[in-house]
Amino acid sequence: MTSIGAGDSVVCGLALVQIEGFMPGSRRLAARITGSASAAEDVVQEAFLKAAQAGARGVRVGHVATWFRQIVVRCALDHLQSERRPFPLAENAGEASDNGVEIRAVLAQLTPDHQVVLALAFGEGLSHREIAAALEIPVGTVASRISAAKAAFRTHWSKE
Amino acid sequence: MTDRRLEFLLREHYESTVPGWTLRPREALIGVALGAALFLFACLPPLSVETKPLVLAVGKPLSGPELRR
Repeated sequence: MTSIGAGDSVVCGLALVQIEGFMPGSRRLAARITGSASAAEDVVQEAFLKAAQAGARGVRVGHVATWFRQIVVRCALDHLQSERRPFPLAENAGEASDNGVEIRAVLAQLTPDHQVVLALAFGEGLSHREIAAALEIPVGTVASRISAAKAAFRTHWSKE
Repeated sequence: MTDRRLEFLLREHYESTVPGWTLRPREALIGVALGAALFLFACLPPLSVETKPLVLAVGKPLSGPELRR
């Protein structure tokens, strides 16, 4: 068990140094969820700030990598919810199957929860257990959420 | 669209949309510091100005007035 807290500055410092090592992976994760490099940078900076604040409050965490991933996912989810704007969907989105822009357009039509679960499952290649830990939901919910996200993707894909 | 096709498309999409961040901030800082040091070293004035009188004196014994100068 790793403890980070105001009274334990050495461990806190070590945890933050550890987190710094996760930055490239966290930026990649945030970029996959938000679909934007600049948004990913904001998300990761906010996540790092929250981690530092949690350290100052004396939050105890089990696994630093899992804990920081939870914060990044939560920040990315908040970003998606606050910045929801319709992505211009091409007229032949269903036909342009190999065009990443069209896929991004379809993904942008999904709810933030669905976008996040697809990014974690197919972008990051996480197991259901890891996704459950990142989203702080039961493992059983992960499968049903992925299934629902796929169904929603198919619906939007075939719309045009 | 089949399940496999959908998953393939998503994987391909996420793979292609990842920005190429490979440089960490600390490494970038070290790179900038090394670059600056190299630039300053290259801009240093040549040392030959100070050594010139000695070079000229090689092979020729200096006389008293020359040494005083």
